[in-house]
Amino acid sequence: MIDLKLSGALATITLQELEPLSRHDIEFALELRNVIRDTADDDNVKAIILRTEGSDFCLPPTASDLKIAADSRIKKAAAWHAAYSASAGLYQNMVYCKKFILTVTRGQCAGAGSMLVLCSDFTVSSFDATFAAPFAQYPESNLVLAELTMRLNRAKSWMLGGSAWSAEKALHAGLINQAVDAADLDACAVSAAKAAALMPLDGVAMTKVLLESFLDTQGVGQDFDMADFYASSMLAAQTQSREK
Amino acid sequence: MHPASVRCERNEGSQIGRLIIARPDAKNAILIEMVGLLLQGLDHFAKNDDVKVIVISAEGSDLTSGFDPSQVELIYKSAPGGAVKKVPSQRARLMALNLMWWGPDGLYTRILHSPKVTILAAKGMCYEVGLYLTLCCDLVLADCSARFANPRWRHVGVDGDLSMLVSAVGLKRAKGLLIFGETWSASQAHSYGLIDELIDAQDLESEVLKLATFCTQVMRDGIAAEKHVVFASLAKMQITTGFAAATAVGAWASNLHFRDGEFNFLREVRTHGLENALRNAEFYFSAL
Amino acid sequence: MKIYGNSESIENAIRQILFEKSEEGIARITLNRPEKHNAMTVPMRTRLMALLQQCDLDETVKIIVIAGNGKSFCSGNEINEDWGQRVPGQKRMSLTMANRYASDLNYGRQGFSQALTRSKKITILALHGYCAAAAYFMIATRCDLVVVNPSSKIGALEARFLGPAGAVSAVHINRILGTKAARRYGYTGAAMSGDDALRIGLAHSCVPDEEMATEVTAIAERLAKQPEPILAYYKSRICASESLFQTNVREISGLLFSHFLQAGDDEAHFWTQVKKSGVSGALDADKARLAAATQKLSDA
Repeated sequence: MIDLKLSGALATITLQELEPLSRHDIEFALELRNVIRDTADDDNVKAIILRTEGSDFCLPPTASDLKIAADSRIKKAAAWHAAYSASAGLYQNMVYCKKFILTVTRGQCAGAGSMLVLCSDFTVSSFDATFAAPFAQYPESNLVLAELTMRLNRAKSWMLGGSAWSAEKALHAGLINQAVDAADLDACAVSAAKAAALMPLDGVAMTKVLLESFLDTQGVGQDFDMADFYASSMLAAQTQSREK
Repeated sequence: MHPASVRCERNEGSQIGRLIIARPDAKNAILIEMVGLLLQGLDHFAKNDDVKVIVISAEGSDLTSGFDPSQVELIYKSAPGGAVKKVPSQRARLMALNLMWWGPDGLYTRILHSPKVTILAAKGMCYEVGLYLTLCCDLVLADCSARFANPRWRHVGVDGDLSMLVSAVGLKRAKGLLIFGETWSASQAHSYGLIDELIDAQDLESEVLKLATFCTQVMRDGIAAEKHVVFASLAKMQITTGFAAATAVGAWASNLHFRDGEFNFLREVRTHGLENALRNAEFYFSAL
Repeated sequence: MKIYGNSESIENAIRQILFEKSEEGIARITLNRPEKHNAMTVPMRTRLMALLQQCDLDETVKIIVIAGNGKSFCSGNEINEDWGQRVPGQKRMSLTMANRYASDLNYGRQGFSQALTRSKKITILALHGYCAAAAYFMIATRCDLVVVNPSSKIGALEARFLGPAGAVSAVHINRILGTKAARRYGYTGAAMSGDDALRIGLAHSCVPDEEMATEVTAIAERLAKQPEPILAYYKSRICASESLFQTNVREISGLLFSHFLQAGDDEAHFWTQVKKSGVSGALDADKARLAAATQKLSDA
């Protein structure tokens, strides 16, 4: 269930939950992708806020979630590619979005939620938010993007460290932009989005053209392009592990 | 004719060259002539075998408020194809931006490719040109008054290189400054990795000299060897591409169209000057 | 493959780079030349590379921990070492030898630093005390997870008297520290403390010296609980991203010039000083020179 509200230059996309993305739900991803893409194409919109209801942004995937996600990648490979790893898929629509995207997080942020945070331009979080790395479980997760966001070793540390980062640590690393009291979270997000929306529409286009070119020179697009290989490699590793 | 507004100095026998931006009554707003003087100074010190370190600093309480908006049109009109028609052509804008800032002979490229170690003493407003001086100089000491931003960007869009800023502070952090209108205090800049050290105002000059002296202890051959391979790695990090993109998008920006209801920042700057334009923008948006 | 070194350094390497492997699959490579702050000879680096390659082929190895005995992790490469570079009758260093040293025996595609960065196993470094020069460029900034203690002294500490030699230009160092910090540490030769290393992003964690072994073991054991193919997948993701981000290879390096630097009349030449007074004497002379320059500035 995706709710879209438009208010001047701001669009707010509210989801009841993000966990279907962690299960590689194809339809859900495509629906969210469509809403983001179509909203970004609206000349009245300059900044898009992406948020969820509830006390957590995206809960850590369960073993069952991961199994469903793996099955989706194997049994619906082409559809999974289209929804999750393709240039027209959800995450690349976010990273290369024509408008600014802000994610608003509270509580746990894991799995697909962490991908959405990485792929957005700006993130406002509550002080109690935590952030788990998605790379071990999701082949479409972009490690180059993480390295560009927080520096090389921090990205490795996040990936291999074994525990979710606190908001304080995420802020220091540059994964999020602001950490605020939970009560002020939505207001701060709106304030940040409004600041971004001061930019004239043509200025937004200009900024995004520069960013898009920059990201591809740094290897972000290429890491997305490799996602299908990573998926095969992950499958082989999991199969070998079971056999041992 | 403006008085000489960048001084190029070196004490007899010193291995430290100084470039001092000196237009404090205008918040060190950079004029075309000053860019030329900075380039001349960089070249002069580059060719002097005695010099190992170049320190860039400023008189008054600010490093610079940015390029003087009164001369923006002049840059374009002076370029080939700039005065053919009433509005400077795309080719004139491209050539002007390339020549002035981002191309091989542009100020930012020349600082970044200086064969000597470059040290910046930052204070007060470090806006626009000041932000890029901060990014392109090797080492930056700032006093607590320093603040870093490009206030125009939120009103017109980003039209400069992204690669140096992101390489220093990270992608999302950079976007806070690029897009979301942040001005970074000296403390924030230090925490984010934009500057090297935060110094008390009264100690800035002495600490800069101390750092410069420290760097002069490295052999000339050692500095030069490293500097020239840094140029290769800058290309590898795609800084060169970022600079080329800045030229292209900066020129493209001239076609920017303000829609109904949008604050025509460029017209405000032309009519009322930059400071008033920024202030009027704040009033306009607070009323919305 | 030709073995470089002299008879003594070749013979000692097996004692100076220790190797053991636990039942949990944690391989430990320990530098063991504490009397010289674990300064690495060419045969030590060759052995290090061989062990890394051996671990790549060993499915029972899941994690590699690298550490050093004694007061410091490693002060860098052994200075002024006879590794076979001197050709009878040839007085000057040649490009061939400089390239062999810089590339083959250090950062090149076939060298030990590449074996480390491209290792198929996750690598954890226990860094205490000094970690300078080659240990900084080629080990500390190549391991996946780095554990430090507050009193660690890390960096291109030799930059002031040997030139930065890659400390500023190395893309991987720029991407780990950020471009400003890479320049700051590279052009000044200043030491990064453990706290600095954590704050800037080089280190995964910073713990008191007495807790380092426990911390490193805990990290290694936690990771080693995962099946080896899964860990290999993580490492393949890391290697792929480093390829795309251009951090895992070396570019043209200032190290190529190290043997050819000319000192001006007003400059101290490190190697000339070494010939006169040995390495310690040369280091002391450099410190005295810096102190004098700083004093002159204070007096001004």
